[in-house]
Amino acid sequence: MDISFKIEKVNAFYNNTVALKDVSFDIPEKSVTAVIGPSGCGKSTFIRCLNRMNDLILVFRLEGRIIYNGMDIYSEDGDVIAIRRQIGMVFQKPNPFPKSIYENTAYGVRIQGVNKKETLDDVVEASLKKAALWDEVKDRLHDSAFSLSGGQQQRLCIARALAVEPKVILFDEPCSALDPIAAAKIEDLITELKKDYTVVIVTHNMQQAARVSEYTGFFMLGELIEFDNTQKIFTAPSNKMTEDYITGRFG
Amino acid sequence: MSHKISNRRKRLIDKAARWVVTIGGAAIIAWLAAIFIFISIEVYPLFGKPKTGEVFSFKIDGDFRPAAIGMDGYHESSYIIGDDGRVFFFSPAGGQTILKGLNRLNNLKDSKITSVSRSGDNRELAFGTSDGGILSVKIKYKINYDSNNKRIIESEIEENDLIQIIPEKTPIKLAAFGKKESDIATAVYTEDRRFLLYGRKTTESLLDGVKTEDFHADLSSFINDKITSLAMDGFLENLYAGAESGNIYHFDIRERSSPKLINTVKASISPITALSFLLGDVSLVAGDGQGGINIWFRVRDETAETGWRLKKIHTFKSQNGAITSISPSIRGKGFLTASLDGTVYSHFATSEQTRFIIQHSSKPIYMVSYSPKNDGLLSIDTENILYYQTINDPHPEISLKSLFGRVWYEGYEKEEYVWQSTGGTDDFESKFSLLPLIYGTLKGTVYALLFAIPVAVLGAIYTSLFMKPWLKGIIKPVIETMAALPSVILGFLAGLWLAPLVEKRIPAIMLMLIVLPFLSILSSLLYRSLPPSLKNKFNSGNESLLLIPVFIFGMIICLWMNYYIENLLFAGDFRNWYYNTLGLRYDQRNALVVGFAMGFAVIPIIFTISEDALSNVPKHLISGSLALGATLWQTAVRVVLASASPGIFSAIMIGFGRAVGETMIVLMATGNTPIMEWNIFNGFRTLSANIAVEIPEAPAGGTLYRVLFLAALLLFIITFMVNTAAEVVRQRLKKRYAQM
Repeated sequence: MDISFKIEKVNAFYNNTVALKDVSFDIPEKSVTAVIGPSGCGKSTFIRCLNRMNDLILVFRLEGRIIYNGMDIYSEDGDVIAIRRQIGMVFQKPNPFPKSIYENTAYGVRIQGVNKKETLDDVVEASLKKAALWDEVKDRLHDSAFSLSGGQQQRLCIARALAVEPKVILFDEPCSALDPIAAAKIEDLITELKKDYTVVIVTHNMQQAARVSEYTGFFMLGELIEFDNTQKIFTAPSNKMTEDYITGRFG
Repeated sequence: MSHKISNRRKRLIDKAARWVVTIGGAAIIAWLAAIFIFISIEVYPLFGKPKTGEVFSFKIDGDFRPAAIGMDGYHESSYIIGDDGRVFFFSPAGGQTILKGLNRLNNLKDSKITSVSRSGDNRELAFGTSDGGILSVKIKYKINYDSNNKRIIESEIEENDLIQIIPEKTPIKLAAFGKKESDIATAVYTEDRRFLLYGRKTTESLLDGVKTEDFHADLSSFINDKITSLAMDGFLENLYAGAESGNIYHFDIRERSSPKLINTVKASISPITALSFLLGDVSLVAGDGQGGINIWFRVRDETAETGWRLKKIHTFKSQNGAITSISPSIRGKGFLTASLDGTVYSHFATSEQTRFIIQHSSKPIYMVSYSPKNDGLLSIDTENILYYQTINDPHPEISLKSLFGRVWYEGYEKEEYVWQSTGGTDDFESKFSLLPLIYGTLKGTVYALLFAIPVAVLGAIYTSLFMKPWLKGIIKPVIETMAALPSVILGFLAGLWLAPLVEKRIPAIMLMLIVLPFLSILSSLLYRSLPPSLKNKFNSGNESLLLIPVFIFGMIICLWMNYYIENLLFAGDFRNWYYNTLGLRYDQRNALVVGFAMGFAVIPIIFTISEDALSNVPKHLISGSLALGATLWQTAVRVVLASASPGIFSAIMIGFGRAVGETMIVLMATGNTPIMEWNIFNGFRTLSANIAVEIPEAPAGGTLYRVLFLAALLLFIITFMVNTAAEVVRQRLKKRYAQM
């Protein structure tokens, strides 16, 4: 098993409030890793650390190291733009841009300076196919992205992330705003994606974590309580708190 | 139970609230409509059709032909003078002779009147007699009040001594008589085809007492043509003769004893049967034998020997018979023409309109006369039947052409758009072209927006996306406070402080436009190459503050270089250089100054609304873009600007509306010259400033008053249309960039 992320003694703060406390574990490559935990446990903060999305928050501060591909992504000379191109992200609420389906998908490539129509056409088609959306939208690529349903919009956001050819895709509760059928499609897609990508998914839904992931990390109050095989976490957790959470005693 | 009551109360409150809101909205619409209707009501009479009253007609008994007719300003006393010298005074509406009927002009003696020369108001007349004399008379109306305070008009006639011009006593067929102070000039055309000029100068001095000097000149040798009409201007300088051939001959008679023929024009293919000057003695109306009516005046022409050339300026609707008589108005450039076909036409020179047509008789109309206030007319036909009619045509100078088209005004070299509503003299030709004002309004707005849009929108982008919150917390309220600054203060500062300051530093300001952007790019490149330790002192979002000293430095450098540039490139004085090399004027109060001042007034509005629109773009869109590896700048341009475009668009449109309607700044900082030049160094006059400037000159109900209301209506329509168009565009953009 190759390691994708090496997280070493990460502490995160908002002003002086501690959000993550001494988190250390490894995220394996080309697999799905789920991050679960009760509300406010720091799991969203954690996943946003992986592609430095927390940079936008002025009061955010991080200590420790996150090694991706042998490089600390928080180091002085870490190029945040290059990092985000390799580590894509899909958000909780579908957030297509106010543009056409085509332009949404092509956006990431366009901002890299690619404007050749044939290249863009190829990228759009390939990405939409990978996101299992192509058949539904191929006849209306130039319609507004807002004409799509919520589930389709979320898959469009996945296609958009795939178009820039990342190595990792981070999902921040990708199904929480969707109905069960749309959510099931996203889950299928995630299962499909792990063949080629490292996937990290934050979820509230423990069944989902159990269904899609191979590894699971359980967070509570900013601390990583347990990280292990999903199978193991859900059948024989080694920590009492994990067990209580999984069996629904709190959360 | 209590639950039910509370539900009912809720519903009542709900209903009441809905009503209040509905009434409020409807009241606003009604109020706007009321303003629109009120302005329209004030404007409407400008385009109203002239009204003519009932025709009173009555026959004057006696075996004579009329020599002159006319009336007083109240339509209470009219006169008719027969060719036998008899004078009738009568009330035109009633027809009865009211005063001194049948008395005869004493100085006429036994001769008959064979020709007449009339002043514009028909009160000063000069008759040419069958004995070769000229008798000038004056009609006088005295206003008195009786014991009941009722107005009584007493009419009388004052005769001067008969001047014997033709010693041989041949009858005078045509006469043109002029009097200027103590100077008299008379041109006559006799039955035996002699064309003579006679002048008399009376000088009074302490030593010699009253001394008169007579001049004679014979013009017959100049023309081999039969003269059919004559006109002399009030300055006693120009004499025009219309001839049977259709020619008009123009004589310079400044030297009474040696007049010169300076211009001959072919005016018609038929005889020129009537000639008359309009008020001001510049425009010459010529009527011909086929009923054609044209206006001529002298226009500057370098190719002509005298530097002037007589040109046909306006052409009016023709009558169906020869023109017999022309009566100019004494209140404007209007005039009446009578014809052999029995019609009287009313024309207006400036607007080139035939205002109305009246058929008075089936017989030829022999003579026509305007009332002094243009509210009535008298005409008489060949059967000696007199017609009297009231007229109501208060705004003859207004037509769509005179408001929006090119008009050839007296004294101009070509057709032009001119706004000049009032002049120094009573015979001034009002020029009501609204185009220079619309042009000025757009010019001011364009220059203000050229300055304001980049500053405000780019500022808003920076503030909402890149600036640190604490700095934004200071900057935004400060800029919003700018909007509260009264525009009169901005105008005052712009006109009295900024304009003279800018005037002396034009090269520096031009230089700043190049140097400041260059410096800011240069300094940001420098900033990038700074070591991180230094950079960290200005965390991202605060580094813009570093630009302030850079800008101040740049401005000082530019101002310092002003002197050297002016010496090096502009021969020491930009304004002189500008005038000498480009031939353009530099106005101290110009569009550049207004652009700065009005831009200053518009920036806060555009900035605030744009900033709100940009800040309201959902954060998740920004995150989505950044997560794809976009830079903040790419995100700003491709996602945030696009999403906020409806808001920014309406911000610009609201700024546009503000600039169009702004009055005080343009009033104080433009010089208010209604010219049509895009030149940034010239002033202009806007519709709004025009209203403010001219309202004191406009008596209620007058033409200017109504034209100012028309300007207001235009302003209203422009802002209404711009706002409507803006709203339509905004809705479309909103639909296109709709948020979820």
